[in-house]
Amino acid sequence: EIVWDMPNAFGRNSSDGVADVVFAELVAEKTNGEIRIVHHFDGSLGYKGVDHLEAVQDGGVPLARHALSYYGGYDPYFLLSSQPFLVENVDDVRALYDAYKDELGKTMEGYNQVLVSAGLFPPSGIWSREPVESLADLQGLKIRAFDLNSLNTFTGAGAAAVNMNWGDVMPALSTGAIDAVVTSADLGINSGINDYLPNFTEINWAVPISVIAINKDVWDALPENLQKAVLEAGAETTDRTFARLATQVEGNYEAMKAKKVNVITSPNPDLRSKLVEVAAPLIEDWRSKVGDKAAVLDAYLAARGK
Amino acid sequence: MHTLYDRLDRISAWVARVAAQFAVVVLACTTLLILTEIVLRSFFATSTNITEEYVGYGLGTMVFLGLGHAVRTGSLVRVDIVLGRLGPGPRRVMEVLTCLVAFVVMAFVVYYMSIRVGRDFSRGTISTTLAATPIWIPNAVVLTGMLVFLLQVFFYSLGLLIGRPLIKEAESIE
Amino acid sequence: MDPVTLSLVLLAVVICSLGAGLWIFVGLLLTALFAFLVLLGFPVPRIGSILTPVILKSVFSFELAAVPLFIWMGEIISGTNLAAKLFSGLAPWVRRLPGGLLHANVGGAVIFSGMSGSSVAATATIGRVATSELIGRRYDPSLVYGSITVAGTIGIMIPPSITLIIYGIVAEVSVAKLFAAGIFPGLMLGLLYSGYIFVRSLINPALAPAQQDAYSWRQRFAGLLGMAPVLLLIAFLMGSIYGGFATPSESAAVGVFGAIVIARFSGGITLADLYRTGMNAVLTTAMIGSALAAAAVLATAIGFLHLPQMLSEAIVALNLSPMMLLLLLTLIYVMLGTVLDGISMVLMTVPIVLPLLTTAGFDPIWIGVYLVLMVEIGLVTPPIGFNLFVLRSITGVPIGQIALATLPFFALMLLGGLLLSIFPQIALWLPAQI
Ligand code: NA
Ligand code: NA
Repeated sequence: EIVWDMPNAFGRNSSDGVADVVFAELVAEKTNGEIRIVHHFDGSLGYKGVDHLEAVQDGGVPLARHALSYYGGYDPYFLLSSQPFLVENVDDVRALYDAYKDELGKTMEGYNQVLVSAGLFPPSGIWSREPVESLADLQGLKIRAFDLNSLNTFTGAGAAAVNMNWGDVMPALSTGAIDAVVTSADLGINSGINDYLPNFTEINWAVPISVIAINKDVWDALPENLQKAVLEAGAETTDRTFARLATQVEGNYEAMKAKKVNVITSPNPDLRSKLVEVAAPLIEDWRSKVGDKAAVLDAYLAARGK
Repeated sequence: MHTLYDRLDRISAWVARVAAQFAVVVLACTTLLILTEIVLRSFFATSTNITEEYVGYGLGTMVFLGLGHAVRTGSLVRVDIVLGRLGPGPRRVMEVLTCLVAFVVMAFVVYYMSIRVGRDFSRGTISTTLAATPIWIPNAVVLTGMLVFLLQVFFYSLGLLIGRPLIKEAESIE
Repeated sequence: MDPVTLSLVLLAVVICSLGAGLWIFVGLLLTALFAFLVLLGFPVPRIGSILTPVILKSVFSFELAAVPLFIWMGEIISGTNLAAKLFSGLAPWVRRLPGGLLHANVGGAVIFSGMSGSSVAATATIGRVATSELIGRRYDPSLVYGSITVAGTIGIMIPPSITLIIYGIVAEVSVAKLFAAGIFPGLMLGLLYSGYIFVRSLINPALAPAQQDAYSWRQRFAGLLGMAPVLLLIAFLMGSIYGGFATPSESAAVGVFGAIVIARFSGGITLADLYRTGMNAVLTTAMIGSALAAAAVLATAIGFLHLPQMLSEAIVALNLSPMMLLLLLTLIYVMLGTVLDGISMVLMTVPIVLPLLTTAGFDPIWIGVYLVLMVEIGLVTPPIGFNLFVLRSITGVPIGQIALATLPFFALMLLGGLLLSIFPQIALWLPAQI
C-alpha cells in the first residue's frame, strides 16, 4: 500500500476539499486500494497555500492541491483564471481550462510535477452591511479585497478597498472598521459573515482554477497501471467538479436565503460595467507579462466568441 | 591564543548586539506602519496596502535577528531542572553538549534555508502583493539571524572549553 | 506503532531534550527531527525541504506582531512607575478582600482579553506589569505566578479570539455566535480563579499580606488619581477597537503609542528608556517566536505521523456514551496539549473530532468553547506550554516552579470544563439571543 499525504489550504467542505475527497475515493477504487490518500485540510500540515508548489517540487509532499492564484509571484501565467470577468458560466470555465491545460501542464513540469486534475472556486461577490445595488453604493465603501487584482479594481471603481489579514476580518466587521468583504458565497456563509453583512451582490468576478499535481519522481516510480488509474481518477474528478459548479452556486443561494441573506443577482448594470472597465488594463498588463503564452487567452476568447 | 579568542568573541558578541539593535529599529518601524494604516483607513478611507505583508516580515526579522543576542544575555529560555542541580564540572560538560546539539540542529536548518534563499534569488520569486517584494530578501534576513545565532553558539562553547564563564540566566526579579 | 505508544514516545523525547537544558526551540526542533528521521524514516533532503517553509510561515505572521508590541507596551508601563501607581491606587480598595491585589491579575487579564486575541500577549503584558509589584508587596509567589499564567489564557476565550476564529473557519460555525459564546465561560473561568485565590487567602491570610492598617479617604482618592493614566490608556485602547478604528492585531500599536504619550506626561520617558524597553521586547519575542516556529515544525511531523487521525479512529471504535466520549477526549487533549501548540491542535483535530461530538449530540458552538478551554489547558501544561515560557522569559523564575504554581489552577480549568458540560447554557445562552 502506498500512502500519500495531500495538503489543501482550504477546508473539507470547500469546493477544493470536496474535490480532493472525490479524487481520493476514485484513486482508491481504481487502484484497488493500492494507493491511499491521507488529506490534510485547512493548511493543517503547516504549509501555506503558496508553499505547495515548491513542496511538491522538492518532494516534501508527494502531491498537493494547488490554488493557482497564489502562484503569480512564480510565474504570472498561473494567474490566467484569476483575471476578472473572463468567464460567465460553466461552459466558459470548461473552455478556458481546455485551452489552458496543455501549456499549464508544461509549466507544472518545469516545477517537477505532473498535472492530473483540475477544480475551481465559485465566483466571488460583495458581502456588505448595506445593499450594494449600483455603482453609487460602492463609492467610499470600506471593503476588504482578497488579491492584488480585486484591490486595484475596487479602488479604481471608487471604493475604499483595504488589504486586511483574514484573522482580523471578523473583529473588524463586528466593530465597523470595515463594511464589506469580497469573497465567495460559500466561504461567506460557512464562516457566518452574514451575521455582520446580510447583503450579497453577485458580480461573477472570476472562477479561479485549482489543480492537483504529483511530484515527478513519485510519478515515475509508479508502475504504468497505477499511473493510468490515477490519471483516470483525476480526469473523472475534473469532470465531476466542473459539472458541480451550477448546482453549487444554486445551493449556496438557497442556504443564504434560508439565513435571510439578501441576495442581489442583478444589480444595476453600471456596477459591473465600471468594474469591467477598470479591470481591463489589468488584463492587458497580464498579457504583457506572459508574452506569447497570452495566445491561450485569445484561443479561449475566440472559442467562446467573445 | 586566549587573547585571540577573547578578541574574536567580543566581535561575535558585537555582531549579535548590532543585529538585535536593528531588530529594535524594526520594532519601532512596525509600530509606525500599523499606526499609519489605522489613520489612513479611519480618516482618509485609504490604505498603505503593504501593512499586512511588511508587519509579517518585521515580526520574522525581530525573532531571528534577536536570537543571537538573546542567547548572549541569557534571555533564551531553557528548562533548568537538571542543569541547575549539577556541580560546576558536569554543568560545563552538559553546557558544551547542549551547545553542540544546538549548533548541529541550527546548521542543518541554515543549510536548507540557504538553498531556499538561493533559489528564491535565481528564480526572482516575488510576493503577489502591491509591493511585489522579492521573496529572497526577507528570507535572507531570517537566514542572517540564524547565522548570527550559530556564531554565538560556536564562540560560547569554545569559551567553555577554555575556561570562560557560563552565561548567567536572566535574573529572577526580587 | 499504535497511537498511544507513539504519543508517549514523542512526549518522552520532548521531555528528555528539554529537560537536558536545551534552549526550547532547539529541543523542539530536535524532537521534530527525531520524528522525521526515526519514526517516519524520511530522507534528509525531504526533511530539509519541509522545515524551511514551515519555519518561515510561522514567523512571518501578522497576528503574532501584536505580541512584541504588547510586550513593549507592558515594558514601558512597568518601566515608568505607572504600574506601581496602579497597584498603590488599587490597594486601599481591596484591603479587606481576602487575596487583595491578586485579584487584579485576574481582573486585568479579563479586561485585556477584550482587547487582544492572543493569550501570549495577555500573559506577557499582565505578567510584566504585575509580577514585580505583587512580589515586592510580599504576596505569595506561587499564587502570583499561577494566577498570571492561567488568567492570561482567558485572552482566547473572551472575544476577540484568534483561536475561536480559526475554529469557526474550520468547523464552519458563525464566528459572531462563537464570540458571544465565549464571553460567559471566560468570565466563569475568571471567577473560578478569583474564588480560589479568595478561599486560599481566607484560610491562610499570610498568602496575601495586608499592606497597611487603614487608609484615609484622602489617601484613597489620591491613589485613584495615580491610577488615572493607566485607566486612560485602557479606555484609549478599548475606544480604538470598539470605535471601529483599529483591529485587535493593530490595537497593540495603539497601546504602544498611548503608553509613550502617557509616560511622557506622567514622569517623563527618554529615548534611552524606549531603546531599553524595546530591546527587552525584542529578546522576549526572539524566545517566543523561535519556540513557536519549532513547535510548528513538530506539529507538521505529528501531522505526517497521522497521530490525530489514528487517535480518533481508535475512539470511534470504542462506541462510547456522550459523557464518556467527552471525558476521553479531554484526556487526549490534555495529552496532545503537552506537545502541540494551540492553533495546530485546532487545525488537526477539529475535522476529526467535530463529527464525533456532533453525532453524540453536542452543539458545534459549545464544542468551539470546549476546544478553546482545551487549548487554554495546553498553554499551561509542561513541557510545551507557551504561557509558562512567556512568564519564565519575563520574570526569570524557573519553568518548573511556574508549572508547579499553575497546578491547582490547572485543576480549576478542568472544573470549568465539567461545569460547561453540566451547564452548556453558560456558553449557549448568549449566542441564542442574537
Ligand atoms: Na480576547
Ligand atoms: Na502544553
